[in-house]
Amino acid sequence: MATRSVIPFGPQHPVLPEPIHLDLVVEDEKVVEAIPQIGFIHRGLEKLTQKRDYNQFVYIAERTCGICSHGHGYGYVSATEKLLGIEVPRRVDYIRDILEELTRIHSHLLWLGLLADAFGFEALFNHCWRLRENILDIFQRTCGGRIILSILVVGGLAHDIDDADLKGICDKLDSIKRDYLEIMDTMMNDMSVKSRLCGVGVISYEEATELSMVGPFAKGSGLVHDMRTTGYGAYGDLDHFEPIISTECDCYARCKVRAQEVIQSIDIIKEFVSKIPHDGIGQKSKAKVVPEGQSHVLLEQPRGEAFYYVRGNGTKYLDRFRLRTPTSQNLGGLVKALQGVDLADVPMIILTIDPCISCTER
Amino acid sequence: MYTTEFVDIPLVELLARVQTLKHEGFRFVQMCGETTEAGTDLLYTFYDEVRDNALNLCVYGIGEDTEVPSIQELYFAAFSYENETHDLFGVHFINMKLDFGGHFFNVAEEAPMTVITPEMKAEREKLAKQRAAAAAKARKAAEEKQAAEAEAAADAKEAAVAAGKSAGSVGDKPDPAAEARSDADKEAERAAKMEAKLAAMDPEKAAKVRAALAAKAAKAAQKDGE
Repeated sequence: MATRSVIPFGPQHPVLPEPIHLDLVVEDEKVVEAIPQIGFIHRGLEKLTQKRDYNQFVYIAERTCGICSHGHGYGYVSATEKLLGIEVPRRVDYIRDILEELTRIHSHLLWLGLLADAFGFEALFNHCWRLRENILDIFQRTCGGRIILSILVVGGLAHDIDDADLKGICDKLDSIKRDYLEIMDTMMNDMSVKSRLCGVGVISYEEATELSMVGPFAKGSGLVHDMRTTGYGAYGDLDHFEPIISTECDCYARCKVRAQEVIQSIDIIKEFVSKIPHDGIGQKSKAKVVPEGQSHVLLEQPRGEAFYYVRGNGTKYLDRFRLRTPTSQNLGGLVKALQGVDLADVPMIILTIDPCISCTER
Repeated sequence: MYTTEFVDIPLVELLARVQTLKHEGFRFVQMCGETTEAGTDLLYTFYDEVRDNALNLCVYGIGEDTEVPSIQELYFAAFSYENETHDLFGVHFINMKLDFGGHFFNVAEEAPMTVITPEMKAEREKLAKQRAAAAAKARKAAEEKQAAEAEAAADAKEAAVAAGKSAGSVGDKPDPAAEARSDADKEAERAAKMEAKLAAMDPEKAAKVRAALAAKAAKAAQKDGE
């Protein structure tokens, strides 16, 4: 009879960029059960709505995470604008979505680099991060910051991005695309990559549905779920949008989805730039208080659907701001994906879920 | 764009409602808590992919000792939210499939999200005062309107009676006592209005205004004496 033992995995582990702890119950080399634990870096950011007014809180929302910083700000301002009954100009929606797609590209490139590094492909890691630097340069040129963009205000944008800069973004993306396709050809067709990812960490379509999974983790199991299809922001103006899915249900499928999403995001940005209207950038809300009531928005972040909820109480402070990140939603899938796998595959499976603990801990 | 719905339900109906949503094919999105004076409010969000509808079930005023049924049997993804709500809000869930026993979040303080900050407390008190003042003002306005209507009706009746008795009383002098009474009433009304305004103000500002009014009154009294 196999001996059962518990192996603690994390919070400090070479493959984990952020602290998450897993108790892996193993029988010989097979994982029988995985029990996650978080809360090592819980900051209580949601609670800060009681110390900062609704306009100031944009800056806190943006600082939730260093990768999806713009997305969290976007979610917060959209939910607050909904509660205040503010309709922003279409140009604002376009610019917010262009920046959101750029965030998706840099998030996926960062993740692909980390995955390559975990394989031991350091050259590939360097190439992915080199391309990512171009996106950060775009942010710096257009917004002033490389990570925290601070372009969002409740009611619009802090400043505009002029048409010449938008054209410059498209030109830059063309050159990134050329380099990226070359790198991806190496990555996705490499035999050793396939041997580590194919057939590993399988989550079936039924399981993904049952566990309410989101993002590339769910799309890799064939689940057609992408909030962009609802047409929020400027996404409704796209000629055609279809979420990228893969039906192999394994780690390789998740990798493939993210790889293709980069190309899709480049195309979306180019379409947005060609259609962007010139109807102003709105202005910072001058409302002294947020009315009583509640509202929420659902956005598609690089890691999947994110939920933003605000509750007003008639004062300038919000009663509650809730941010549910994709990683929180995918923890159930992570537990399931780790059951029955080889101990050596655990790091790869965790990486292909692309957990973001900063967002989850908020 | 998807539609959003908020539905208030009592705690006893929670499991049955969630079960219905599961059968209807709703996807579980999230669950969160919020501390209020009446206890903790819980918000469950579900999403219907077919109709693009986000449905929120709101359960209000969960007490410290209230047992909330877990929905993990129906939606396993809820385990992280239920454990989080237990650790951060102190809500007690029963029949949890995966229960971390209060060790899911390693926080230094027990139920840290239930603490209300001094800033928020001050804002809420100010809002309550404003609301009380507005309600008092509205009540007073309604009473005054009612009194004015009754007075007008009485005057009309009186005039009709007087017209019936004699037609030669035109040009009578007004009663000085009644005039003085009316002035005092007006003064009292003005003072009440000012009090209502002061109650709605920031206490520090109200104290300043009160001091200024007192100084003005003293000056007027001194002038009258001279």
